[in-house]
Amino acid sequence: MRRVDNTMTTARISVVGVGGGGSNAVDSMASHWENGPSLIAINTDGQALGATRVATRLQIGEPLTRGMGTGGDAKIGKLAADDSFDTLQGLFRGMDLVFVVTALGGGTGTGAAPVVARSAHETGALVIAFATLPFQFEGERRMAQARQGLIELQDQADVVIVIPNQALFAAAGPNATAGEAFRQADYFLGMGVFAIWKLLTQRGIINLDFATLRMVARCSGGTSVFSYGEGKGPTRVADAIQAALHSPLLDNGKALAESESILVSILGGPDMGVREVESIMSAIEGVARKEAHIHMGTAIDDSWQDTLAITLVASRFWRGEDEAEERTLTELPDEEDATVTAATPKKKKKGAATQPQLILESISKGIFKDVEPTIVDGEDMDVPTFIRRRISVDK
Amino acid sequence: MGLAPIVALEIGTSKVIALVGELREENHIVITGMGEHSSSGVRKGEMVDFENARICVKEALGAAEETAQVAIHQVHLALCGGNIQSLVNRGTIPITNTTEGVTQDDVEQVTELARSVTLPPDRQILHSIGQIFYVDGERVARPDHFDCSTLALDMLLLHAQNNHLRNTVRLLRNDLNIDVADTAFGGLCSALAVLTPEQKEGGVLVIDLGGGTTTFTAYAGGIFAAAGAYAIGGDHVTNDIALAFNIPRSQAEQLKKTDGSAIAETPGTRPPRIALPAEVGYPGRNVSLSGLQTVIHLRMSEIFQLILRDIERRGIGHQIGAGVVLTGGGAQMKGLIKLAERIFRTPCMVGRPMGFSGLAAATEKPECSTTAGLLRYAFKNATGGRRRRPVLESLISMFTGR
Repeated sequence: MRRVDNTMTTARISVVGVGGGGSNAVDSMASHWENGPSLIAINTDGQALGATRVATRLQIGEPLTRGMGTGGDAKIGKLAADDSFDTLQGLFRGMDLVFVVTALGGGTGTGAAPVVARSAHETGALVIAFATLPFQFEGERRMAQARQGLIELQDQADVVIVIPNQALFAAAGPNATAGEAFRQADYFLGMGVFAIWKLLTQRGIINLDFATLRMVARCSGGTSVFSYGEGKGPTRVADAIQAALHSPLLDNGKALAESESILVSILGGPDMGVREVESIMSAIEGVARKEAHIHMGTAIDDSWQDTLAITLVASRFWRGEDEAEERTLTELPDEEDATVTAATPKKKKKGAATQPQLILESISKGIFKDVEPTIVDGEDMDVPTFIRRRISVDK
Repeated sequence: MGLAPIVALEIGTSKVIALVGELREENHIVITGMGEHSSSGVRKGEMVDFENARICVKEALGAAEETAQVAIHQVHLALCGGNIQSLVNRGTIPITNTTEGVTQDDVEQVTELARSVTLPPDRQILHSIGQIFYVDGERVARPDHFDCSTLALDMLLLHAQNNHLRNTVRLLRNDLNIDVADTAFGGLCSALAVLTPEQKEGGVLVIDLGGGTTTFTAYAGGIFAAAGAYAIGGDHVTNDIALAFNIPRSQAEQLKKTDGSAIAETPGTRPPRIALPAEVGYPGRNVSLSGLQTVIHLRMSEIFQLILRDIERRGIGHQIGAGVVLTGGGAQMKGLIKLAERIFRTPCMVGRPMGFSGLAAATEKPECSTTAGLLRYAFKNATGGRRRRPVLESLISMFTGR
């Protein structure tokens, strides 16, 4: 029997980075955190894995790739993870919460992350995935692969928090180098995980326990967006609010106004006051919809003197525990922007994962409904692409 | 040359096309007859309604007979079903004869071995094409007289589901009294029609965009490297449009042809909305141009991605230096070249039949690539000059019968 603990301090959490990008992010967490959650790095590339400082490292797909990585092929990433499925489950057994951190677009991240998420989910853990989408300069192919991976990840994780790297690039200014942009992406991934982890493990003014987090995770839509803002000194509250609420990751705040569910984590030092928390919450309530489900928690860390950070996780969908699965198309501006605000309804994560086709059963196939379906990699190609990719079309 | 005219027939998803060709000097082919008829009863390149299909084929063949002034009793049939796949099989034999090196017998033996794969009972080999020989692991074009201990041959095998093929042959033979002389993979035929030897040498990918299926054929270093088909085509684009805007299929088809584009146009160059007239059961309305283009863009880029992934998986993704050639009826879609260039990251062009003369209609249209290429394939086999030469030189060869 799995022990379910709702008290904050005993929830067992592990953070697993999958692929090169994910491992880098976890690696940078390892160097910053003391007494953090257990960190795991998973990669097909043995050399890259050897360079990380993460305590638990798992090389997958060795016979398949000879330890050389996937060459960008998500299929190989998936096969590699499938081969190690039992090992993966062993890693996650007994965990209450597993963060799967990955950079989608490459072979291992895209292919293996959904499998890792599934293995964690099947051991009974709550699975929160943080996934970055590639920069534009990485090319259309990686982006397309990333999107496919995202769809698969949504089917396996309770929550997928999407961080479109391109938006980070925009925020970093016109002169940012690719290296800086990647480091920025790693930093944001790390802070996202850190904020939620802190919320669950550190005592604060207002507590958010594991049960609430799990409820929020299971009720909100499959893909969520995320933002982070911090401030220091006398203007810390205003600075943090400005950064978090107007983040390019939230489409400069627009995504917040359209969200059904917002999870707020406020991190501060022992000097953090109730007033500060109040003014942050009223700023958020000012831009959010009236009906939005807002859950917040605070965490206090002694080393955060004079510093304050706000982390927001916003989802476009909310359903009650028993509410039937939603099938409506989301409204997304267009393919490119879709990645910024992607928020999709998602089925309940009870029992085994269903095939992606089944979600689309109710959608008409038009003239193809009576002919033998064209199935490629488990996808029914007769269903219009825009429906399968959940992209809204100007009518 | 005194060769009888040959008839090439393609029973496509949107069109049935029949071409009559005659062979002139230096392998030049003159197209003397052509018949086409819009297709019905065919979905995804395979017959679903035999009666309707029979009528369409009869009409097309009738028109071809009329223009060419010949009576048609026999056809060559192009196969474009989405079920066609390819694989590479290597056969290896030991060479024991040290005095003569590799002999013609050895070549035949290794060819036989490379060709023998076990397929599921519902599939059969359509083409088996030798790619490259290896003598003791070294790649050679011709292994004759090499002194070595092993000889290997990579063979590209195209295989197809046999029930569809049997149905088509039966329909032609029993209901129309037409004999099928030979069959060939449509994608291979298209490649024969539109490619130059230089393109094949440089590495090229031919994508034939049909109504119900999309086929592809890849050459790398002059070798026929891969082929395949997906049962996704222009009909899917039309269907997507019809479902996106809730309009009848006929209007969707029209919209696709007149205003469709595979990439988003610069805004402002055209009115942002397209007016559609009322039709029975559908009120008149207007639709968003950018919405239309989004629907098409998503579908077309998905098809290209599938093919790209397919050839990358076969390790020839980086060998298509001479670019991508789009052909078939769907190749005329606006913006498609740009989209293909973006996805394949190599120059792309529309391919039309080359080296044919005669009826202009047939020699200028990309949708005639398959049938025109089938004529070339058929004449090549009929003249037979290349058949007895070493396997590699006759790239197209050896149709193993039913």
